Amino acid sequence: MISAIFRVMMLGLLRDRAALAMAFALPPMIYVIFAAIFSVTAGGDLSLKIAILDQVHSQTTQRLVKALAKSSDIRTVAAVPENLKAIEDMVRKADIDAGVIIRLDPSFISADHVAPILIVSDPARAIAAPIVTGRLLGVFNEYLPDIVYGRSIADFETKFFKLLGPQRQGLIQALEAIKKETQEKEKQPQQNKTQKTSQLVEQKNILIRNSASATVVYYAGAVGFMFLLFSLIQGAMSLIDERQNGITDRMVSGMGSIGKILTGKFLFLVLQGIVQLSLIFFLAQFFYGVDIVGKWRECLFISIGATCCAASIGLVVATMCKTRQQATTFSNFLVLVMSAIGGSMVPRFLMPPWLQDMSWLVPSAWVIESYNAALWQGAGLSDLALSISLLMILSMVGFIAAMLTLSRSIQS
Amino acid sequence: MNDINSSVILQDTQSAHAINPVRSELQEATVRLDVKGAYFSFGSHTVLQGVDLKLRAGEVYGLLGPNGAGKTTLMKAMCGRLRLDKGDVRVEGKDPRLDQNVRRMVSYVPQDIAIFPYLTVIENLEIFGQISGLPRRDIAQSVKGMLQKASLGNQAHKLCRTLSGGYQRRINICASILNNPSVLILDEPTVGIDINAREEIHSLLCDLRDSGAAILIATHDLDQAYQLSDRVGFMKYGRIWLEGAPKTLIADHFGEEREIIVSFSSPPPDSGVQLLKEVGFYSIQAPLVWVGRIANSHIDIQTMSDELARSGMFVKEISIRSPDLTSLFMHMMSENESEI
Repeated sequence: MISAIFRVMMLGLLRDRAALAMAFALPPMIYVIFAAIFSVTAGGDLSLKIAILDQVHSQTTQRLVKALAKSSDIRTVAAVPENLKAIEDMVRKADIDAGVIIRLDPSFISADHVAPILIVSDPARAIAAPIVTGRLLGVFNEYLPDIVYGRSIADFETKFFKLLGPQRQGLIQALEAIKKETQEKEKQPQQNKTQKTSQLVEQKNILIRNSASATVVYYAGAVGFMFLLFSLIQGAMSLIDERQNGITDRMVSGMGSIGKILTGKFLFLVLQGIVQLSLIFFLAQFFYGVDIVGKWRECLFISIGATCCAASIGLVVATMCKTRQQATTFSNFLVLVMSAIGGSMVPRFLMPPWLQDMSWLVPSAWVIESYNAALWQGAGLSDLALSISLLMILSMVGFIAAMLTLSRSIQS
Repeated sequence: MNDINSSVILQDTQSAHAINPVRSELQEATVRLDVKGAYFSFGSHTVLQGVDLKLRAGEVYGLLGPNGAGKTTLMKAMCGRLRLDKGDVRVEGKDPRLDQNVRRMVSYVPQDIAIFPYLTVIENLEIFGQISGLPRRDIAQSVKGMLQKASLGNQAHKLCRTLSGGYQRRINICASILNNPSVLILDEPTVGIDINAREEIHSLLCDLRDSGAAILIATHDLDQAYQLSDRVGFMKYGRIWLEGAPKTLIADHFGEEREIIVSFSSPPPDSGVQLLKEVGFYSIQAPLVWVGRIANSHIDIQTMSDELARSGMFVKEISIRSPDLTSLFMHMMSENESEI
């Protein structure tokens, strides 16, 4: 009986091209797209587009404009806006991510402490302004260190005491030397450029196990589970059709039982889910260098937990809903909410704290964090035991709920 | 006669059928399924109110009754899918709810075409053979035999969804009789198919009956019930009110009387309704069509029509026919619970 149901599910899937595509073609494709999009936005390769309006045209501001044009961290558009309104229009139309207006010479500190540079950005791209600010400061440090030191000295004199004539003279000479040195350094090959730079802050990445980026690793699990939910709920919906056309009635009237029907379906869905996840992990391993092979045991156990959980959710939906349309509407809502809260779309650390806490209520978060822990943080099976156990418990609860719901619906 | 299109139609619907006579050997045949004093309620709604029913080996039983009479609930109970509030169901003396091997003896054919549309005919039969508990080694042989018996050989490798309704109905039944069940329960097995397909299904069922199975057909097709059934049972208000061989039931109920059906062009006045009821008429499509009985068909239609017109009842059509199962059914349906 169980093997008969399993066979029906398999033949049904093989002959339903849409379901096949949904299960095995779409998830890897979406993973590739997500990996391409999010690995750039979350990583260090982000290169924002800016336009520069130099209202001063001094020697220093021209140096700054040239330096920004040279910087590989920022893309400067060729078009030069005429005024502030023009640059604001460019931002509004999304022709650029941010506008840089040089309104005063940065060598001098104005009496009313107005910042010499104004960055204009759209609130819809709120992250653009801080990123451009950071990149701009980097450009100042690298290409115009004399200006940075000069402003520091001016600040010092304002806040503490005025330098004496010889002291000031010495400093001016030193700044000239730095300026020359920097200009000469710019002409030298790339590798010698930062040799003598003293840094205030150094960045260091921890635990780089994978040659893949953290985002690519993250989205392997995130996209994988989201599509697992979609396709397994879709697969479980065959139960609705079978109930409507009397197949379930026929089966339970003979040798079959509700338990056997659901077990046959459950086992097939779990197998389908594991194949589906394997396809995504295959891509992740061989195209993005995610270390799946080194963590195959952890991946297998998380995948079993995840597919059991998704399959039982699918069965609950299929037994609760009376029509396929009802189930489709409900499941789309359920999967999207679970995926959004659980971190399938945006990583949980980017969510507000209350939402991060709430996300632990949905199994998507357990699955995604488990995969991330295994593949990025190097967690072992013992570290993952709790989340895998929770997934299995939820699966059992779901399966029993599906049995009771189906039993009640058949009785009535 | 009124100047409206009055006409007399004489019908004898029974003459076309080869009536299955009441077979005396059935009286001694083994009881395959026995329902005793079955009671069942959904909440406050009582669906079965003490149903007694026996199905014997080699018998076809037609279960008749209006929608909501409790037929489906009774069939569910027979398949062991329902725990009765009171009474019991026995198949070969055992409770199908408690014994899986007994449940294997009972097959159910739902009203809908309950086969997998994306599977071929042969795959469907294999799957249902497996589900019905046929040993794996016997499935291929049984399926082959069934394809031949049901003339489905040419369709064996076609997807079921691509076949006509008639073929699908046949497969629907074949899927339930692969394991040669002792008891076969069918819910409207031939609804929505043409006469040829219906006859082929009847032939399949007769073969099964002849092999000793007990068959129960719940149907609204009274012609089919008359043609196939050794006995019929009229179910209403959760109880079987009348049971027996169709011909015997009709003879017992109508004797030598004929049935007269009067259609009016407008609803009769209250006084007319009172008059019709006094002479034993009852309405079937209230208030325009009324049915009564007459001792013979040689009546003066003109006089009758004129008299009715004088009472304010204008006749559109009068027909006289030999009573059949439909007449009996309509008569049963016209009576309320206390009158039956």
